[in-house]
Amino acid sequence: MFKVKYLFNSIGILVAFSMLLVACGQPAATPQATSAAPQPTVTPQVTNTPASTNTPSPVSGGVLTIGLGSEPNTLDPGAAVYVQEQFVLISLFDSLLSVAPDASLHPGLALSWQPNTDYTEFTFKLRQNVKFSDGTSFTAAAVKASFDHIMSKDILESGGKTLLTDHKYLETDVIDDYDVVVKFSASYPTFLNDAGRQWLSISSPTALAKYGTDYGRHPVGTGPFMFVKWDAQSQIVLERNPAYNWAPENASHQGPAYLDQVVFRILPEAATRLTAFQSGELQVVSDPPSLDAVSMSASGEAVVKTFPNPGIPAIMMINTDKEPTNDINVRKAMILAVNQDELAKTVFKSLGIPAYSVLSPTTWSYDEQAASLYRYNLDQANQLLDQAGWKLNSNGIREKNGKTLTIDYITSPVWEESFNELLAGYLKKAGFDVKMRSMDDAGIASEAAAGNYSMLYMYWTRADPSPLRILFHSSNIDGGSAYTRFRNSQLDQVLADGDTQTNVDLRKQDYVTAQHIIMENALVLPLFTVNNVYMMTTSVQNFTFDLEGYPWVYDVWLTK
Amino acid sequence: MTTYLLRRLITSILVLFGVSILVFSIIHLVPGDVVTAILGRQKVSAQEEAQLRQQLGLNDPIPVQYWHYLSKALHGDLGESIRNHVPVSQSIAEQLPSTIALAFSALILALVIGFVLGLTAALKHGSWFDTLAMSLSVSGLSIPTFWLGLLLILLFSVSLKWFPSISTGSSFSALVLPALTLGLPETSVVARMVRASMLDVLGKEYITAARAKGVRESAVILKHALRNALIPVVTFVGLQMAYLLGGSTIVETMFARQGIGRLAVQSISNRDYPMVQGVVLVVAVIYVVMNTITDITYTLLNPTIRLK
Amino acid sequence: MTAETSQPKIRIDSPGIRVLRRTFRNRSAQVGFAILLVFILACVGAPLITHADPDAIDPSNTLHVPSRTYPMGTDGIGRDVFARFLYGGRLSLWVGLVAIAIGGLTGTTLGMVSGYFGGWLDASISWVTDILLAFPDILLALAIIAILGPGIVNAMIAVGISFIPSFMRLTRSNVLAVREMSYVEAARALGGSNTEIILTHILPNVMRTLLVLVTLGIGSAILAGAALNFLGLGAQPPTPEWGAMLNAGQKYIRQGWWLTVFPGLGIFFTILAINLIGDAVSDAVAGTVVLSKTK
Repeated sequence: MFKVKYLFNSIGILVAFSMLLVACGQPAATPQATSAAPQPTVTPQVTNTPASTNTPSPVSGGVLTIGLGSEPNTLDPGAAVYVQEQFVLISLFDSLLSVAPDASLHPGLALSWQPNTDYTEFTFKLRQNVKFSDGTSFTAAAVKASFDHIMSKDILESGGKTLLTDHKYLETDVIDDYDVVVKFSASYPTFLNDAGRQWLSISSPTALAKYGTDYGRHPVGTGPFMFVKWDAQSQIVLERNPAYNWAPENASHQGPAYLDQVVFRILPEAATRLTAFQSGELQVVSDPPSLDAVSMSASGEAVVKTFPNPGIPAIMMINTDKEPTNDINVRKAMILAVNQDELAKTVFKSLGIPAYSVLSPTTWSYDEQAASLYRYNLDQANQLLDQAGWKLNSNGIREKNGKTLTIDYITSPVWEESFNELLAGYLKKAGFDVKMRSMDDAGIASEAAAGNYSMLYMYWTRADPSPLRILFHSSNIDGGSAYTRFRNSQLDQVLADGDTQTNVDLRKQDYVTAQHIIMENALVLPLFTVNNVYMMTTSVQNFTFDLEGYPWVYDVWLTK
Repeated sequence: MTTYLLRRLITSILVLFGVSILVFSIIHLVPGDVVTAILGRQKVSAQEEAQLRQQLGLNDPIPVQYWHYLSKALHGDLGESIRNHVPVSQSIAEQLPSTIALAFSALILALVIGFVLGLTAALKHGSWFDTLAMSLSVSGLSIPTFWLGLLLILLFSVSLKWFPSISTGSSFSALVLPALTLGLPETSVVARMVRASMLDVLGKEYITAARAKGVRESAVILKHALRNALIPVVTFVGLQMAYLLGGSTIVETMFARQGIGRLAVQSISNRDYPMVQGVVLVVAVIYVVMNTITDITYTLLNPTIRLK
Repeated sequence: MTAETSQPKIRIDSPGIRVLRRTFRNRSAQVGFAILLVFILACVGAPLITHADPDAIDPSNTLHVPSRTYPMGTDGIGRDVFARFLYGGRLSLWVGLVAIAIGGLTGTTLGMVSGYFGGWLDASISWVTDILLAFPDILLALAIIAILGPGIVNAMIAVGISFIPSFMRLTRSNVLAVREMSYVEAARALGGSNTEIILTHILPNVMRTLLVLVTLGIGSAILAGAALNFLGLGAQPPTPEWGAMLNAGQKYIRQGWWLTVFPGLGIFFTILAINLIGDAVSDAVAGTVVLSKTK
């Protein structure tokens, strides 16, 4: 039985409650907060601070809890595909080589190596007295077992498999316990670099045989940390490997790691990760909300470390095979309509780095000229569209021959909606009608295969420009990732050559030409350079990045 | 009596049977190809795709597939998650305790606070307290769970910084905000029910008679009024199962808590059909069982129904 | 009895009108109507109230505190929250209406068929309804979204389907009660067709009970729709809608309290108003409807 006085009372309570909230609330965020932060901005440098002589000496012990935004699908390095897998793999496994942040090659599980003249056979002399975390010894048999495992039917597709099959892996010959030869039937000049990556790291043959297809949940490697457990959708726990008796040359110490345990907490929402960090549950947050990261580091509560990823920055690959984006002027207008500077700043605050080309500036062979072809210019965008016959109708959308200028934009849930809507907003200002549909990876894959999209999101972290071939060679259009569906024989030729070219200068020229062709044809809409951002408490010492921006926790220690 | 019990049980079993059919058909009602959904971005040959189809039993006629599904489910095998290949029943078993902890705390909270509020309001019928309590109840019923949660986070996490806005596990500070979010609307219902029930009973003749006999006021309340007021509360608990199970999806998602509610939402976003089927089936079964128990308990408690 | 009386004329003091009049006289309902009217007018008349485009981004003006120019502030990419509130309200209300229409029409029809014809038809429809009832509301909606995929239309369908059981059940028990009434038996004896009897005698009685269910149901439907949108399974960006706005607002909870408070207030007051009206209707209807067989 309702009485009116109940109603008024309840409204009164609610109003009082709201006023309480507002009164106690945070001081309102001013829109100028973005420019005030004294953070290092656009310089694309790796912010690796070498252990300085003034810091206290490392102590052993402690648990480092890291908040990750997505969960690995597997911890089998041979089956791994995604970035979040490599986060964890880097601590569990070692590779044949170790690649320093300056891209120089150093001994890893292999002490020395020798390629043949045409880079089809690689002989390795292996490190001795190394044990896997299951107690078995590391020998040449492990190298063979790991590579054969990647090529086996158990793995349908993975980063490692792509690397090996693209270069026509033949076999691995075990000469004796510590000598091994890896053979390919095609020339693979970059194999030594790739052999230093997590995808080709070495697993225990005993474990591979024991767990079979379940190995991804029971990884066994030689790395500085051992796998303890994986609570699905919650956390992955690693603990120190006490038998770890060496370390890559660029590491700041040798022997066992300092930390007792490393825990990866899986928290998909940035806001959730932030709260966990603020309440002390995490010491490190990956990809914190930008505004909070900036303000907390400015106030000294936290330390922010960033790493602009080399490789392909965040871009939209534009479908050249479908209307209206099959018209080069439409594509150019799209690039000119988006204000990359403002986009990066709005979404990532002062941690945002705009991108203007298909390669990020820290990538080898990056060409500044190709990157200066387009800069935000809404007037020019409008002009191009007008000239192409697309006229504005009464709703602010452009039309030609009765059709609207529609962009089919499939969004993936990875990025915050504000990013998607922001991008759509810029395009709308030039008269595009942007239709957004949200899909998960599987849905995107099937739409991509069918060509049902105007643009698709892509980024690829790699110190080397070789992913360009996977993304732009016409052989990868059907069933592959060449989402721009662009066919150009010159582009195909330079990309194919770049893959096998052993002369460094010629190879660089290949990729410079590729960047020019891609940008001149407006195949991609560059957005921002993916900046790995990590926020951590002041107790975390010696947090550094590897060559591709993955956190290197082996050298990390915690002050009390 | 026994006939009633038997009939009730049979009805439940028939319903469960129907539930299993409905859940089974989820994967077959999906427009488009399930196999594409499973394979995702992977490139496979036509032969391997055919093999996968065979493996999943998609080539068998539908009734046969249903039979396999049902027999496996009865043995506890609900398939594997498409995304991470973990057995569905394992994921559910891991996540269920967290949801139960949440639902339980919310229920206890609602019962305790609601009971106290309702009782006091009934005893102080017409006073300012009564009005205040009822006003809060009115608000409580109209406030959306997700908004309430956000307001609580704003007040207790952001402003006062008393409690965290994400919660893991069952510690007090982790459970407080989620339990409050889930339980406060319930508190309103309990309070109103208890108050109405108490007022009703307090006015009844046998209470007046007891009072006239000179029985102490507290004895009057405790012995007669409470016992009779308890019946609707018992049925309430059973009825609120639906709300608690449903509400947990929202609360768990908001606070990033472990639990089958969040599991359900995530598996839908991920198009992880075996997981969706598994979660829906388990929750529906729990719900049906609880309802059956509630119905039977109510019948046992309430003498008038028994005589039917 | 002439042919023209096969159509019931609406007399000034018919039970239906009495119900409505009693509702309107109830103070709580009046307040409820007032609140609802304000919201409906504001949302429908959105283009007249604000000139801002709810989708227009303004990256130089993000997270602005509520002020004269921006009565409800701006969001993370500079959009006017007030404009989004008004346009979004349209969608939130609309979802509730459509969902109830779907659930109500389907459920009522099923209930009438089931109750009137009885037999195996009744048994099977009841069985299906019991199965639908075996799921907590949100779970049923989630299951349907799992099949159809996320989207605002699918959300309407999902919420609609979750209302079918309650409409069906209520209608059915109503019909069962009325079916045995003497005037119905008389009509049948006089040779009236089934359809005629259903429409003439049963439907009006059912209508009155339905009124209660519909009024309260719209509130639940709006709430359920907003919940689905909050979970990201309904309206897709950039569509403004109160539940979806709350979801987006949660990400900015530290920087902009206005992003969560206003859309929530919208939902709260709408539901409150509907609950008030619904309660008044149910009070007014009580006693005028045949609900049980004991008469």
